[in-house]
Amino acid sequence: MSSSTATVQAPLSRGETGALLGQTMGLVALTSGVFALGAYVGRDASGGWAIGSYIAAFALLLGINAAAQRSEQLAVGLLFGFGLLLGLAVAPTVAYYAGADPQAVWEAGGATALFIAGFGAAGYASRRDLSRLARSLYWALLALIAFGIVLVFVQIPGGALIYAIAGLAIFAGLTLFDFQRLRQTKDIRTAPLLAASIFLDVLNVFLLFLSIFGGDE
Amino acid sequence: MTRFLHTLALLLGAIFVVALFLPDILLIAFVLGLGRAAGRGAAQSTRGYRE
Repeated sequence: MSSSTATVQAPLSRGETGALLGQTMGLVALTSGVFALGAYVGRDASGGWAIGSYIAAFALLLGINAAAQRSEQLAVGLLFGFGLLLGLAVAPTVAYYAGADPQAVWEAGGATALFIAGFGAAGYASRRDLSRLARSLYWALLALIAFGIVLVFVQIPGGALIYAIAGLAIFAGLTLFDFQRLRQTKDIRTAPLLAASIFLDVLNVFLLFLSIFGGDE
Repeated sequence: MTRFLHTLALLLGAIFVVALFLPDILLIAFVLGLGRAAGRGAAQSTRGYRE
């Protein structure tokens, strides 16, 4: 399913698996820090800047995918750029909630930390193969995107809440899968890709919780 | 505007996750398909508004 697991190599030892976990989570933490910096710097940016940042972030995401197998340093650099651009893109939204309803931002942040810690630990410890579940969740995510596009054009009562709850259910499964991949992966060079994947899980969960706590109707 | 940006963030966040899984060729087809669907939806919405 993933384009990041093309090469077949010997399984990693217990020590190497621990090193991959440490390296990946370190990258996630640094990317989150860069994201927070971007969100602070871009707090007064216009909607146009936010949309431009999304487009640039998308280009960098494709770059991470391409660079992961060739140069780890380049992939890590692109990952930090990706985090910064996403911070700039999300900045006007977070700044609005921080001004209008600061409690919603704190609650969303705390709930995201608990959510990722809980499902991440469960996924890392799970012995059951979650790849089949991930395939189903991938299709569910596509259905959620289609539902989101419908919501842009059609007003459905409680639509935003349904979207948020369905999204959290899907990202719970994807978080389980991503953390299991940390233990099962056979290639230590995939750390930047795994970090990008986990960082996107964190970001999506935060935005979904913000939608719930901010009363986004 | 903020509500639109939040909706956009939610949608693009999900699309980025899909983008991380798909090979490049499929991804381009996916993005083009998504763009056409959104364009058609916007056109229908505008037509309905005019009527």
